[in-house]
Amino acid sequence: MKFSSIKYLFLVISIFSLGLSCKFDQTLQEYFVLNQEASNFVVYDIPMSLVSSNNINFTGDQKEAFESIEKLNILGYRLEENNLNQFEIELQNIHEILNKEPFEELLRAGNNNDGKIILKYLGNNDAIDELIIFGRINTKGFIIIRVLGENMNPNKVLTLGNLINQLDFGQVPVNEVMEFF
Amino acid sequence: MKKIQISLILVMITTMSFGQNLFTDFENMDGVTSIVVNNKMFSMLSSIEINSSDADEQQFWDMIKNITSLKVLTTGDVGIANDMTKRVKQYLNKSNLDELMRIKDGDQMVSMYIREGKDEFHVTELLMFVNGLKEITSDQNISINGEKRDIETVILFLNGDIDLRQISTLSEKMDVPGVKHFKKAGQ
Repeated sequence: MKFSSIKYLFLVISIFSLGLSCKFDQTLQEYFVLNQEASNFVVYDIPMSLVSSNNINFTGDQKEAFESIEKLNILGYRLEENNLNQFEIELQNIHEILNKEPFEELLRAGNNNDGKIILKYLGNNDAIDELIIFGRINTKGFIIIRVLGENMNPNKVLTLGNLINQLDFGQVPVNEVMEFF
Repeated sequence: MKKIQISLILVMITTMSFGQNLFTDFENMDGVTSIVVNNKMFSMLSSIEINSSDADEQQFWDMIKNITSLKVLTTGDVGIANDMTKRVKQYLNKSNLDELMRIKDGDQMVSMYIREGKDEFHVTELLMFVNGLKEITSDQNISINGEKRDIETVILFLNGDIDLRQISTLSEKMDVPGVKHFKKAGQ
């Protein structure tokens, strides 16, 4: 994914200003920006306005949840034969970020041989601002999905989970992303 | 009086942190699969289903909300399984949990320990230890990532305000080997 330099500059500025307003989120955001053009990384930034939901019959809750999400920020790292060391280093960096920031953990599961999944969120009880899904498959790589929005209702957002296959993400190879799970 | 209170708190803290150590020591070990589900997740899950009109269901989800954490450790490695057995025994000796039940059937051993809560039906801590599962799981084709796995030992920690009568419902919704024994605990 290539950015023209003006677009890139704009992105950096907007991210910087975002970083100022919510300091906690800064480092994960920084990690995304830092690595978006590095080799082996793939980054997708999907504003929800680009995601077509025309063919879906939402329930009231699902519609509300869908509309509360502003965008998805996805970063993936593809494991290849020659980058195992780098993979381990990146994993360490990610865990450092996820453990340090005041993310609250929802669940974590997995093992050392196959992989792990971690679910975290940022916000308070009734309104979350960010949902973070981290997944790692030892033979494939890792992926971080940030679901960003304002005052998302956690319960309602979770009801969207089983709708993902029906959404039309346009150019983004979501299936490839979902393969991680 | 105050002294007693303080020492009680100290005892609680040490026993709690010991259980924590037991879990974290094994969590990142090779050959161990672990699951941690925190309170927030339970309260989210319970409010998704909250519209249920069934009174039993409703009660179940109310109970779920009061679980502060669920932690599961499983392993198929006999060496680790032996280690786990040792550590659980140590923990039980120190933590004053009461034995709720123990079932032995051939090589399989299921034991459940609780810390009693506000009344006889409620517990604040539940530990289930299942050993010798290999015999069963080797016929069951449990697979992760397409590879067949054997499970020898399962340790399950449950904390919160737990109604034992609702535990059996929980076991029906969870797909963890050995959990079916929960049914007996509710009776």
